[in-house]
Amino acid sequence: MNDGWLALLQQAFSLLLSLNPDVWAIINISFSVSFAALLITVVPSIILGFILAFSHFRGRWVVTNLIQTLQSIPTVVIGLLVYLLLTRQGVLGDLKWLFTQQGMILGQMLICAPVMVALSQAAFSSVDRRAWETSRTLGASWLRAVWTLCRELRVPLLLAIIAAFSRILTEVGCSMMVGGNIMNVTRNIPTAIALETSKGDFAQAIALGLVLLILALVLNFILGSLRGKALPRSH
Amino acid sequence: MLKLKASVSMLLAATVFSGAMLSPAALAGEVIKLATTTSTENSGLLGAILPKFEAESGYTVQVIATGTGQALKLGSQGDVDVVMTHAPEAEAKFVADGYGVEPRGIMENDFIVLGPKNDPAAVKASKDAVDAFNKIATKPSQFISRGDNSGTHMKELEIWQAAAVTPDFAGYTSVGQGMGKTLLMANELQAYTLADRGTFIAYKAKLDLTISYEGGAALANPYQIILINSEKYPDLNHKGAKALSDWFISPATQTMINQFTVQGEQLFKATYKK
Amino acid sequence: MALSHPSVSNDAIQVHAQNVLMKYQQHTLFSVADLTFKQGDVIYLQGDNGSGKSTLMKILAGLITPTQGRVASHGFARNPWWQIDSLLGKAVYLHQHPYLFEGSVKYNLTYALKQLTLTAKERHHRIEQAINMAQLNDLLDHHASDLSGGERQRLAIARAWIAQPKLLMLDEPISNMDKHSQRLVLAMINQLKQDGTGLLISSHQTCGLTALCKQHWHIKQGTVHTSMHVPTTETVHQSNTTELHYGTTN
Repeated sequence: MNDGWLALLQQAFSLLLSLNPDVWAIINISFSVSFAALLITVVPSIILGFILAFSHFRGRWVVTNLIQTLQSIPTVVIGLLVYLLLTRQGVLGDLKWLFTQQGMILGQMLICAPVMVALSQAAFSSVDRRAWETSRTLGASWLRAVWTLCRELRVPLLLAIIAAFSRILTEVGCSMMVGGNIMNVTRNIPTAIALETSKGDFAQAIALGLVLLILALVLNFILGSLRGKALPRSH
Repeated sequence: MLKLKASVSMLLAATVFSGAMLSPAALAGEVIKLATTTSTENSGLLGAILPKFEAESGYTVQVIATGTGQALKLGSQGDVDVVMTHAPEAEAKFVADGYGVEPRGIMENDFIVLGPKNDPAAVKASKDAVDAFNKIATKPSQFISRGDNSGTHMKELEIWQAAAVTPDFAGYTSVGQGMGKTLLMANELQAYTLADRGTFIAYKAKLDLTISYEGGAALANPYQIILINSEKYPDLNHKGAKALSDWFISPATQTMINQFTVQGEQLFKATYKK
Repeated sequence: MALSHPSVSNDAIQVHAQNVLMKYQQHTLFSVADLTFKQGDVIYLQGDNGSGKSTLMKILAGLITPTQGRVASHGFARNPWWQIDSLLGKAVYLHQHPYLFEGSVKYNLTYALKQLTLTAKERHHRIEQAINMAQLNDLLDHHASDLSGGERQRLAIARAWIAQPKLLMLDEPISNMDKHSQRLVLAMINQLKQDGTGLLISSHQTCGLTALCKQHWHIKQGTVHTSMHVPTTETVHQSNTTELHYGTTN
């Protein structure tokens, strides 16, 4: 290996700072795909979390357990599932979504939804019941009362969203299988890192790794400061 | 409240942003999906010559780099428009089964047996590839196999069969990785491996391995581009795929293939014959 | 008018409970054959701790479904067609320890206004009145969680008052608060009474608050007894001791 560590780091930084278009295209794809997946899932997931926490319908136990299980399934297995759905011979083959961003978004939706449902269910279960009762008795509609609860729980719900987002932004298995790692189309940060490492081109891999590292630091910082504000209320 | 509003507007901005980003390929004209092997992609050949095709034809080529087995599988499922691979037997079956049409040999390079510089199995003195493999299996040494159903992996299995060796001896490791990763692992473990010359030259600077054995008909590595049968999958981009295949065999492209070098060495030899 | 068992008359705005039975796990909390809470009523709800005063109020508010029986409302404006017509929002229930939403005093105060269609002028007027009544002028921009117990209760009552409920249920409204707040809350309740709002007030002690009341509901031995006679301090004491006696023999 003729590259020293310092030289590699230097190369990585200059790739980022010189706004290398390849690197930034990859970063752009990563964020836009993951944001899209998050946006589509966030409202239904939170509402499902609310329903699981607040209502006692038959089969609630089954749904709760299913979601817990989905949460712990490796992303490659979800990738495999989505791949089989999207291949021409699959159930959703007519969509022609294999090796497209739409396909990646679908896969990431399946990865982030269980995390958000489970975490928002936990949040809604912890909320003071009086918040719901007060809102409803003051004449708020069902939807407005749910929105009021979301407002009360904004810190834990934001934590849930951030947790789900960081899970899909960093997952490699599903993106690789469903996206196919096509340059400028479906190559995102994790799949690019996997590829550049396999090519032995560590500078770009490190540059992209740094982006994820910086993002993780920022998100952790936000989480930390939010948790500080999430102390239990006095009555 | 302010924080909530800020985060809502941030999310909204992101929707617009991602909405605009969703289909850049659709904006850039028609897409041709090419499933090919990691060896052509990792060597940098496609990155060097495909932009010229895209500029001339207006098509956008999306390259899905994988093993030959997976590439042919994608072709037979109708998930890609055209395949470019290097496993003659599997390709013949792909065509015979009615999935592939118009196979064209466009270029070749060769396989080489790589190993540590001190050559613990004394492979250098082998009389052919089969002999070299026999020595690796019987002498105390390590062998790293791609193990991913790629063209290189199939070639390797072919040679083991010819050598009448079951590849499960103590030093044999199947890693299930692409060529590049396999080379890096062989380098780390100072093991023998079978590689295509293209990828080896591209990686040479990073490797502390040498060519232990080369040459002979058994190690030839021909690449074919194969179209997908339009009767099986009528709605694929057959026109684009045909244009790409025709472009590959044009004299200008064949010259470009010959002229493509990495670190001063020619990687592929254009071989198309009418 | 049959006072102990008022008949259902369709002209009065009311919540009417019939044959209600409330069980908690296997144990019967209380039952009542017929109970009407209508506009203009001022009812003192008495009962031991754990007898189910809050539960009864929540049933009438539509927040809890009783184990058996039905509760219906009469005389209220219909909900818009896209909303399910339920008991909720008819008889408004105020918790003993009010829940204030995250945010400013003003946000809490105007919470119920958002459901109403009011002109800007009406809105403004209503807010002004509520602020003055609860004497929250100086606290309007404060964070709700910074308020004292008395201030919280005042805000909660003003928050309910602002939507001009026809029926209001107050669960121990003046427990645990300073004298100044007690006086203010008492004045607010008196104002509500003057406005003709139906009031159901639970309290564990007789005081100025219970003296306002004109009817008496008493949860005793798992039954709700209704009467037109509101006990004075002495009679309550007596009934408390007898209940205590029952408690020990049980």
